Amino acid sequence: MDAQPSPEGSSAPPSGPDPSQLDVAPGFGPRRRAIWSVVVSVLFLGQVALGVRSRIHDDDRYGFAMFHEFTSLSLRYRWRMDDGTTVSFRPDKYLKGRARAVRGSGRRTEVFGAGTTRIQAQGFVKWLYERKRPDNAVAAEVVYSWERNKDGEKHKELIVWPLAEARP
Amino acid sequence: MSRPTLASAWTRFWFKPASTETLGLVRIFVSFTMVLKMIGTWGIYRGLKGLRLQLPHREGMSHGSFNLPVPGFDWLPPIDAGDVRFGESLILTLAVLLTLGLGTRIVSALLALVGAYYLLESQWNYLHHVNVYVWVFVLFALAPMGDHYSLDAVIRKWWARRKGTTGAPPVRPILYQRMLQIFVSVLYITTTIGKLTPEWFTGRFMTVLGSQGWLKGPWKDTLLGLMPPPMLGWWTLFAEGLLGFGLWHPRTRRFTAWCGVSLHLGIDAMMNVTTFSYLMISLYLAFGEPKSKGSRLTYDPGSTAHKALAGAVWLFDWTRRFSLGAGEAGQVIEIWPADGGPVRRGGDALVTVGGLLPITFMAGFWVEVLWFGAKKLRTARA
Repeated sequence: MDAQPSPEGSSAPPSGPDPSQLDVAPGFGPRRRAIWSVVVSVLFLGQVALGVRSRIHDDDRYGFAMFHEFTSLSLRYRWRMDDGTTVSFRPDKYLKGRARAVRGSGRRTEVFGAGTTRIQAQGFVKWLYERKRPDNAVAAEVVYSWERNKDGEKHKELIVWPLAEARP
Repeated sequence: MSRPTLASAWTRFWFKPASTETLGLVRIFVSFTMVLKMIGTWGIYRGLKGLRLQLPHREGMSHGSFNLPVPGFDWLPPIDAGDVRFGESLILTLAVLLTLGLGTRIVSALLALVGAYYLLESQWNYLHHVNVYVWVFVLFALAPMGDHYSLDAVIRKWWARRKGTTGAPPVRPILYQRMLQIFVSVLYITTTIGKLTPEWFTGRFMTVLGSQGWLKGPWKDTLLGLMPPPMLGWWTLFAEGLLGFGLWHPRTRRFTAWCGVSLHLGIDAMMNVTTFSYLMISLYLAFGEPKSKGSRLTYDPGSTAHKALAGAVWLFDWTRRFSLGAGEAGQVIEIWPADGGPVRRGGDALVTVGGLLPITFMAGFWVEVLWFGAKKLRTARA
């Protein structure tokens, strides 16, 4: 196989100036280049930042690190009443589709990272408190129990809304 | 000649002039995957049942009272089942417009906005591919995706003819293609870093996915039989890691793309990821030469076989790699590569065509590797 020039007439006639002869596209002066340099840098850093966020919060959503671990978990919901007692409840009826990820029934396995359920449960207890609170309840709580990759290290967290200092 | 500085390298990397033809192809393929998603036509894992069509698909999700808004965005008006149906019809309409190339910047911006709203306000935030779509549509909104292969281009040319000008799009920088390339690379690099865990190296994660019902479909058992979980884990890490870098260099590009297509078809064969696999495969096009039809294929116009081959190339060259031209009577098929490399003739040319057409690429790539490998070996021995 020998290197040869292209056959005559094989390429389309060029439109406008021959781009290969230019270092920079016409119309892209220093100012416009600076603006675009900022735009591409922001986009790049934004994408990287979402990746970093996903690692920090252990939440695979938005960060493209989809399915980095699996979590065995359970959620137990309860109302904190004004007399200091607690009343357990299962708020499953408000949840459909993927929102069932924060349901309160049984132990199950999730693959989006332990932080995903924590963040979603925080949002859900806030919603419960604001929309479904019984008259004499002062807070919505959820006990989040989880174990990463079945490594034997069990964790238990109490997620409360509103936070103690903000309670009536 | 002055030594290149970091600033001049940066300028050339982002702002050197380039054709936007490949951007037009990326637009068509990516937005068509969104059309497929919205009409519910996807999924090798469904077997033949995947080939169905609903207008619009009404995939949505069953929405209850609480829809998992992203914390901090629960002030957005909540979405109910009716909104989801409306949203899907809107996205389908916009995706069709984008595929045809009408008002590409505005349509892309609208798609990004609608997608972002669903992502922030509802349980769609669990959908990895919706996240990717939103990013891609933001990039599309910033880029002249309608310069070529679009109704915008047709209208522009028609308008220009009336005014007595050519209607050719302006010379653009390679910036827009680079943004897509960087996005794809960062996506694969971050996903690879995220997966560097013992669960992936041991394949335990694949076992968990299987036990949780994430792996499904008629091909699942066959594929898992061919590639047990540990091997699947390693293969995923290898392919995704390679995709972070390998698409940039011409020498590794096609092998990397082959790995990427294999990986995503494998995912599509076993998991319900809707059109995510097709979206990612479409994005590899952003690494193609900016100018389409760069390689010239010439043939003997008197030969029925040659004309049939040229017809097949015209029909199946969806990524527009070849321009066709009648050569001289009695000549063999010839390919004059876009990069000015060696001309390929006869069998070499046929093998090259097989390695470049999308429908024959997966097998054609390896036929090409073996063909030219054997040829090199023969030459070395001689």
